[in-house]
Amino acid sequence: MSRRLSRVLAPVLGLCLLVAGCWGYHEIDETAHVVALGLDRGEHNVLTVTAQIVIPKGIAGPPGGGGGGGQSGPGKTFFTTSVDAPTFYSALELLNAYVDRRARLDHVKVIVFSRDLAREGIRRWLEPLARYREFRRSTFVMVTAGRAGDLLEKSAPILEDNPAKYYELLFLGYKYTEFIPLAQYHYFYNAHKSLAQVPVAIMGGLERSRPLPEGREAKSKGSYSAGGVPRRGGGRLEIMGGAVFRGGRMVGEMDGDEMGIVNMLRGTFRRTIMSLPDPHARGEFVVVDVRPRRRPKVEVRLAGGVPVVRARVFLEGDIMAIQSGRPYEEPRHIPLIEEEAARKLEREARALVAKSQDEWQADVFGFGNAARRLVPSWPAWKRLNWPALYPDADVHIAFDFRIRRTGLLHETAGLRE
Amino acid sequence: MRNKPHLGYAEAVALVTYFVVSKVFLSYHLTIVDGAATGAWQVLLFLVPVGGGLLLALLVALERRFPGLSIIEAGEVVAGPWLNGLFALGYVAFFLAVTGLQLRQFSERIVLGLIPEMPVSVAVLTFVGAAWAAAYLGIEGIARTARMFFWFEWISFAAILLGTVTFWDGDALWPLLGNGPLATLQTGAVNVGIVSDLFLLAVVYPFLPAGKTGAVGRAAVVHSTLALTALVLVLLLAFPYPVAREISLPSYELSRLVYLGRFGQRLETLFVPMWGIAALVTTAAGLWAAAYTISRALRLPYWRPLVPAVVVLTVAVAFAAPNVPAAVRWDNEIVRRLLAPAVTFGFPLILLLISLWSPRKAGGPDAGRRSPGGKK
Amino acid sequence: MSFLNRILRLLVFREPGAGKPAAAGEAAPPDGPEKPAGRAASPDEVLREGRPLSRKLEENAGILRRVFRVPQNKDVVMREFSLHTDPPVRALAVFYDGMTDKMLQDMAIFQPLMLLAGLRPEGGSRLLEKVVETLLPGNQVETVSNFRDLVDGVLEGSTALLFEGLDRGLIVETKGFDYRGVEKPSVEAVIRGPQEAFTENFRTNTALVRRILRAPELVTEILQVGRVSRTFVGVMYMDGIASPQVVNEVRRRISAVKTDFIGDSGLLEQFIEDAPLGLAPQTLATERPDRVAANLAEGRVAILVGGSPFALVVPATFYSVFQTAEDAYVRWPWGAALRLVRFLGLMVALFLPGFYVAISGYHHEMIPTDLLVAMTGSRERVPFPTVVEVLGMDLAFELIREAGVRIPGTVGTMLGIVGALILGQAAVAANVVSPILIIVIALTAIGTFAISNYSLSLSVRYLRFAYTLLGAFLGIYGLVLGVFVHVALLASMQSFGVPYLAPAAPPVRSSPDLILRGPAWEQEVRPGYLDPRKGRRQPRVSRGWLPVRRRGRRGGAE
Repeated sequence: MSRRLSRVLAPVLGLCLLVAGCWGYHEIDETAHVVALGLDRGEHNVLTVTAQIVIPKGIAGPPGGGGGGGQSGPGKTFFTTSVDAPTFYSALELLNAYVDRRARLDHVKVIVFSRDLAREGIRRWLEPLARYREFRRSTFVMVTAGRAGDLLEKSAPILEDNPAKYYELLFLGYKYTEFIPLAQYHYFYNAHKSLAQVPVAIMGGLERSRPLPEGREAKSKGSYSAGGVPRRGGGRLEIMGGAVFRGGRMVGEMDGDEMGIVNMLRGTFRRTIMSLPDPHARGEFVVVDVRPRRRPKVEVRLAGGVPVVRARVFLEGDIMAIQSGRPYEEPRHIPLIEEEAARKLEREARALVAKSQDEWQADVFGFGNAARRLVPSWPAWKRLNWPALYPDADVHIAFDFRIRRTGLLHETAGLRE
Repeated sequence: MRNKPHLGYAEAVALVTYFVVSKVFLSYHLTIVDGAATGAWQVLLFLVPVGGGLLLALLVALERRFPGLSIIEAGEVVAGPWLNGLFALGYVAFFLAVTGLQLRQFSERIVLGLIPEMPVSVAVLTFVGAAWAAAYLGIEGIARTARMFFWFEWISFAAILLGTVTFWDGDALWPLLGNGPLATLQTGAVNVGIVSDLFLLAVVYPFLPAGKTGAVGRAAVVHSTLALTALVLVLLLAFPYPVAREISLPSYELSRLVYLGRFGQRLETLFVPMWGIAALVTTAAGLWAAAYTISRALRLPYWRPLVPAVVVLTVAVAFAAPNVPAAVRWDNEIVRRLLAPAVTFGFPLILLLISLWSPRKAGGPDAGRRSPGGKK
Repeated sequence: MSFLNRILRLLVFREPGAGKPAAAGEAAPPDGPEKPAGRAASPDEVLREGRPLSRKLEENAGILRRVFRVPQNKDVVMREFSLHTDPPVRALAVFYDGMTDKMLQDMAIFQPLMLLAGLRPEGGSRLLEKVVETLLPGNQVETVSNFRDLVDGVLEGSTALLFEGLDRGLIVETKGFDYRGVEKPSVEAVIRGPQEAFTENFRTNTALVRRILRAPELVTEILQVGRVSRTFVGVMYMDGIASPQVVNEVRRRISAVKTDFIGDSGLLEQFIEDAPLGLAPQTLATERPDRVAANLAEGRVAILVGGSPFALVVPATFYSVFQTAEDAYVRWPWGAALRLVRFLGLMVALFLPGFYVAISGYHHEMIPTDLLVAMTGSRERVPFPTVVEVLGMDLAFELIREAGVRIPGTVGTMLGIVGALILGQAAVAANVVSPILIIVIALTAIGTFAISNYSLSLSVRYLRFAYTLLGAFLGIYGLVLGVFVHVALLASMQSFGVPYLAPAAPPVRSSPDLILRGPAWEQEVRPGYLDPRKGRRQPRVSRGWLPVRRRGRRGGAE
């Protein structure tokens, strides 16, 4: 009996052993893990693809030495390489002409397009990615003013060894700033295919790649653009604002403040810090911490073929600073600050709406999603043609801001009575 | 001692539910989303209970008239060997087509989602090999395995659906009516073959606890409605309509989408046991059902020797499609629209009508109830 | 096809009605090798036929001498003496030296018979009755009339008495051999709960169980198995609770075993289990009397084998094998938690190496990026594929464990340190394996230690290699195929007619006592799959002291 058994089992085992090593078994150290991709207009071909690849031994420390403890000086943790090719995937293959390990996109965290390419149109580069198994919809989409290749090459993280962690932490910053959109490929792609909204990508840039603003007068913190933040030190990459796309082409750029308004109206806003000019003391500020109170409420109706959009944004927040020391904390004075904040936001929103309607003709706010309720069925929705309606829409945006807390101080005492 | 397998209520529910539902791991959504756009979930919400209920009523009515007999034996009593032979051929064709095409699609899913470098033949053969082993153990073993994993499956499935909750966009369900109520109804009517797999009940009901077929079927229909509807609903929420159309494997894409912060992402591999086991149970049950149907139709005492033949036929069906889109289309647009409704709704209906019309053939419904053991 | 059926039968099924297990097929030739030719009655024949005793003491003594191979066999004592009667009656005492209590023999047999027997000569059966009734103070005295029974009595350690002119003999209970006392359980140790284990002495074992279950319904049937060893096999069950079918089946299988030697319950287990190649133990071997008692009270059957400190409890299901006694003795939430931890251990022990190989060979996307980079970095100089690393370290570990069991106790602790620490550390330092792999193997090892049942643990330990290979060939998909077939085989398996995965699949009425364990007062019914005669073991309101409420479904819902 056992001889018969072994007569059957032997070929099976033999088959199994033959199989080993084929059919996609790759050791982790036979794979080059790409963590970021950059796409530029090509110099020698249609496209330049830049891949940022981690160097594991530079991160994990010298093997066998116990790792971590050795102060033998940090090794390089990544390298970048660019190659020109007609399409994205051919570039990926070309990469293997000189990188010994097979490049894999499983761990790509960000895909960067240069602004030139984005303006030219990225539909044909972007859409095929959804088909490719290694690429993931959680990848972030970024646009840079300069060359994407340069950006990846020079954006060495300081706090992190691993650039993958760096990107992820950086882009998850939407959780505590208003400057950047939540621009994972999933959202980008869905908006790209939607009639109701347009996609927005993160704007990124290398430090001081744009002219810095002049003069010492007060400017809003979000008025900077990526690459134009006046600063010294730190990693070279900055992310700020968003790139607006329509029909697969980049049509405009938003600074940090504008991005904040869009976030608030889209419901992706988490937190920001607002500096309000003190209504009673020139040149001094009241600083508030702002959070969403509930999801924004958008209503659309048609009035004679023209859509009328009413949007209300509900915010709440805490007082962080009252530079003038005036007693705004008193319950009867609190509405003063609330109205001041709402007014400021409404002003900014109006300007942005005008910009989106006239300059970009793109519904960056996603008002179209509310407009879907106007029609009963999909064919009717297609007939409605929201992208064509939006530029003429009559948009009213109201902000409702409430102060909740005043921090550790109950009330500021005046300096001298 | 082991002449006849016994399926308890819970195992039978699990088995039939798997058999109906495991297509959530394939591309059953395509024709429905195509047909009803944003209203696709409504199609399933009414199609599964109504279509499933209808089929169930039919099968239970037939069983009431011929207790203790599977549909093949009952058919022989009603329609005589020749017509019933034709019907049995239909049943076998149904099981083979469904199992074969699903086998191909599951294997393609393995290649696509797990190991891209693996030849599809290896996927098909290893897959069918494991299913064969289980089919060989018999329906009792398959059903118990199904039962063993039943709640694990549900929890995993719910985890996929709820894991994507951060990506849900409520606005994506609007316009609410999809392509219009008419299109919704029409899509439902055309795709009624989606619930055809309930027909497995007609083959196993001699093994069920007496009089429980209806209860088993009802529970299976409830589970199926939940699962089939929930998947399309969540698909539409996470991938708003035009995008939902593009996706070929919704459950796979949804599991890829799960992103619970920096540490809870890229989890699709964790869900392989869920769909892998459901697929294996379904395939094993399909192989068994085909073999058993043949053995009943030919009045053979054993079905086990037929399993290898059925495996060969199934693999042949699996490889018949030249490419994945063809396999998907054949499954969704030929098998599910033409073959399945004809076999699973049509044939039992004809049998029922004949037996109503000429009770003498059955020896009268009462006679059928009296002597179930006499047909051995 | 018949070949497949054969494999199938080994894996899960027992052929209906085939009580004779495969391994028992062709046993030894029917007779011993030294059958003396030409003799009228060979000792074997005497025993087999159960030849009656003769009236002539000399003839009986001659046959017994042949049976016990007396001149050569120095263990047997054949003491001839005379009864203190008038006239003296010649008598013969036969016993094994060392198996009897000398003191007892002197005081309870020889002294009364040789000194105190002031009897008038009475012939025939009256003498025997007189002796039994008045002269032998021993607690068990049995009259036998054939050689078979006489010899069996001597083999057990009793003293056989034969008298001139009588064709019957006496078996006087004088067992007095040494055996290991009742000690703490060495394999199934618990913190909370009884601390005694079975011993090698059959009677001690039955007493240990009976001491816990003081019920007249507790029946011990005794069978003898083994043509040569004539081992006592006790079948214990609760009459009126255990299913008669199960009891009959146990009895049928045990009495059908034909072999020479049963040295331990582990041997008997192999003769009576349903599927010899089954992927999990189909009997529950336990050394704890309390566990046996609890199982008997549930309606199972215990098989005690003489000379074995492990009792077998059947029918076993996966869950009964998986549980430990302690789960029930601690308060129920923690009992449930202990089981969950153990289940985790089981999963880790079975799948972790395969899972590790699968994800590092096929599913790199699954590993968190930071970990992936760390793993890659630590692997850079390892010259082997991950599979080889895993299999190598796993084998090394099995080697350490096997050596650890065989090694003499004094050096045992050294081996653990050398094996685990030095080997692992040195292997990493030499870049033979990656550090993360040491973690994987260590976790796996700890997982196997958490499995309480040794037989299950063995099966897990070796199936783990199969899963490692599956993971290496087909990735997670391979593991899933393995799990599916594994579970399908287990689900089709039976232990004495009970589905192995009951009560999970098929679900039957039972108390909350599977992977999780409910409170003791909710364990209201006996497991339905055992088909017990009495289904309920305690009323709904088992905590009778609770204030009576009108509509409370359960007494202990609080």
